[in-house]
Amino acid sequence: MPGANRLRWLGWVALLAVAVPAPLVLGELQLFTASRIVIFGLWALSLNLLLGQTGLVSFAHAAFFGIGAYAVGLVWLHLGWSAVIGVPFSLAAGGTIAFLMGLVALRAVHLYFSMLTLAISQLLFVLAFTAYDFTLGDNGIHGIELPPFLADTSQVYWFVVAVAGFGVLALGIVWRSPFGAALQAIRDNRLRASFIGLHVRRYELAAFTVAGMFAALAGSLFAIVNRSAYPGLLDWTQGAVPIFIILLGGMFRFYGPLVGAIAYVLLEEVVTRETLYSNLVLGAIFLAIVLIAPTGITGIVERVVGRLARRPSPGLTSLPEPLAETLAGEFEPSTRDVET
Amino acid sequence: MSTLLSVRGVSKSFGGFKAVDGVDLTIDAGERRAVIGPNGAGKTTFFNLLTGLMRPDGGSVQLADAELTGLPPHRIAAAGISRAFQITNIFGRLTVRQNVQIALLAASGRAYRPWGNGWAEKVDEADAILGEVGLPYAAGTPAAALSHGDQRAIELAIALAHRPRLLVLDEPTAGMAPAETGRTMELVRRLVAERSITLLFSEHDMDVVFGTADRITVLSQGRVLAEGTPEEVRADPSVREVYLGTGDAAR
Amino acid sequence: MGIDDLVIQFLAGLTRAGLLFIVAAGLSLVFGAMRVINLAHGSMFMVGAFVASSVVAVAGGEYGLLPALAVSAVAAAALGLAIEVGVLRRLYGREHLLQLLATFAIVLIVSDLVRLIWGEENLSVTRPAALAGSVDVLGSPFPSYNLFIIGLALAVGGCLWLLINRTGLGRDIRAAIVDPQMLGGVGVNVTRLFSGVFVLGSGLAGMAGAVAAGSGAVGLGMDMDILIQAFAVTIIGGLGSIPGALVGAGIIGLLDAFGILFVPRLALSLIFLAMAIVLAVRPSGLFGLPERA
Repeated sequence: MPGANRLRWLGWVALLAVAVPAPLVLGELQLFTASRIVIFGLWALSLNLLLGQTGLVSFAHAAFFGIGAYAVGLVWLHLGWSAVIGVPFSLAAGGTIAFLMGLVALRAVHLYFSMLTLAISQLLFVLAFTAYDFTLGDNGIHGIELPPFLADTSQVYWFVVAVAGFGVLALGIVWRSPFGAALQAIRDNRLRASFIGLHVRRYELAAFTVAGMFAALAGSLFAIVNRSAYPGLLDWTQGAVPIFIILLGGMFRFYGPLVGAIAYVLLEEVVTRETLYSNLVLGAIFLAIVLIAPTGITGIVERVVGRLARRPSPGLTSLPEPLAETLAGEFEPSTRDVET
Repeated sequence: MSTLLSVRGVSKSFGGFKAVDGVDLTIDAGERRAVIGPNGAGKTTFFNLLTGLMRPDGGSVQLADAELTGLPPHRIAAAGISRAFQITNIFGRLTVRQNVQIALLAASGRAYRPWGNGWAEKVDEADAILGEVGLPYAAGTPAAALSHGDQRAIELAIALAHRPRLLVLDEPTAGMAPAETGRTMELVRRLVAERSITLLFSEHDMDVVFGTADRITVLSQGRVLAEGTPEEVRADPSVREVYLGTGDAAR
Repeated sequence: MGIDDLVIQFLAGLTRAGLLFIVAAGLSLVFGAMRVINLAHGSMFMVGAFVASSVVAVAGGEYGLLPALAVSAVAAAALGLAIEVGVLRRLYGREHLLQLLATFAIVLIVSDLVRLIWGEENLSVTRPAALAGSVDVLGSPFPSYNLFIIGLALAVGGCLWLLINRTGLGRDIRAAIVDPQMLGGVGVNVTRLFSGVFVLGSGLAGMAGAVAAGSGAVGLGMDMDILIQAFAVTIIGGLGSIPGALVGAGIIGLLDAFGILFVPRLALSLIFLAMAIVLAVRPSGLFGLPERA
């Protein structure tokens, strides 16, 4: 549909038109909020390469965010280099660790894979926590100095937008590519994908590595903006943030997590300002989305637009289901109960 | 005629139960071979061993000169065996066209490219295959939304996209109405003939078996009970006994 | 360090293992029968601990904790029933991811509800008078409450074994663990089975929370602390396996106790290291059935 395409381009242009000149209008605090949106957006986009596109549930995504933050902190602390060097370095660090973690974790499938990512990411969390000489332990690294060209908040913001923009572009190219198409096939039907000749685990490993790289990139930007890196960033419960964002925005569109990031950060600010019990409110909203609208904001908007256009949208109202059932049905009744 | 598939003494046990017990099978290039047998005879398990879903305990599988024993599914697919499943097993959230596109991309060995527009690839080729299996009108619909019969046709289209040398169909007409069954098998016969694909299929419907197969292999309790032309198999007393004895008589 | 120190440390490890087993057995049952990873399992544990603190406050310290075990179990079981009926039941047959996310939302909600009801201060609970002392083990004092925990865990293990191997519900649970798709086909009332298992698991977690309340401080955050350890136990033992939970709890409990003794700096990471190593070698745990592709 050329119409939808044009609309999508218009959306991206509008996003840039709002994001780039923002420092000319916004105050310091609002700019900080805008940075959070950009950083969380990139983080959630990287996770959605796994969740929405490949159907992999990883509990390790906070670890990669933290690794990126530490890449900035450690480069500054130990090497005495400019913290900015840590930003490209985070891509390499995140990618390498994700590749190694993936090699181990992808030996398992489905929920066991998720559990393995949890185990390994908690191991990284504890390492960051206990390796005092290297990471300064539970104190974290604070007061990271920035180079002169990042002297004021606007400059930091533009730097974040530029780097995150590169990340979004790179992820977008991967999402749309034949590789991305193959990931979608794997998401829909892992078993069938291997029978059409795809080496499923190798594709999953590649996706896991790329996702780790860009989660780390987002984390490095977090460290630049907050001038700190600390172990709490790696804790697996932090991984709920990008999942929430993806769910809020919708996982079946590339731009879904960006929409989700805007909604999440604004929602979080309002909720924490208005109530002492923000977890209660956020949890209830989260639960409502899961029960009522699992396709998120983009899913709802598409359905409404589709209805207005009087064209029944083939809208995906449900998420990918692992294919255990299909495979179970593959075995002859006489062998099913013994086959595992 | 040259031998395409050569299976020697393939076995698979689950616990103490021998699901497939030393099966030999040789298929010539261009042949249409049916594997029949009562429920639990080991047909699906045998196909699983052949296509890499399960690893045989013993024996060997060769396609032409390539050794396939114990290889994973994606390697076996690359070697030229493609399979359609008994339970419909397609990419439900992808559109019908995308189902075929991704199979074509995978077969071309270019699915790994992380740039370019994935779903803009192989459109014409996919549409051509969809035309052949009679689904051109549904190309843009999510595959899960189609009827059972149409989904079986997608299975076939995915399997054909490989340009396989050997096409393995596990009960291609399972769950179909009689009229649909006839159309589907006619389609299968035409496609394998046009593309000179060797066919190996299992089936419960004896009309389908006798109407399509050049030769028939009968499995019972994991072993080859009989093998021959349809006439020979039909006349074989041991085959009659197995079918009549289990009450799973040929319809 | 003498042999008596090692024995005491061994018993301390078993105590930890006993508590972990009671929690992890419930988590493992819920996963095995329902294929749901219940992130809210730790929340049940925390609710149990806070309820116990209130019961002891009302009933007095001398005996208070003993009835609290029952009250906490019932309270957590009731909460579990509400969650199963109100939330999870609407998500069966849907994606595992949605069930996982729903239980996480419940974690957030429950943690704030507990804060709302009991406040943010850490609470402490008096042990029952009969269990407040210590017994002599090779000349060293060992808290009798800890022996009580070990005994309780063994009793729970025995009851679960009987339940699973000797009752109709147990037969259905075993069938569900092997193949959840077959359940409806063989005439099992799936709705009742799932409610029963979830309530049972929640009740066990609640009781364990009350037990833990007598061992240490009751505070916010204990939900996630216990959850991650119970996960480690379940994963090492194999999701869905009660004997696995027992062995896993033993490994984690002892690793914890001796880790603190010998390599205090690495004690925390030992658990996750063990978890990663076991899973890397046996992706479905020591006693688990492999998940189908």
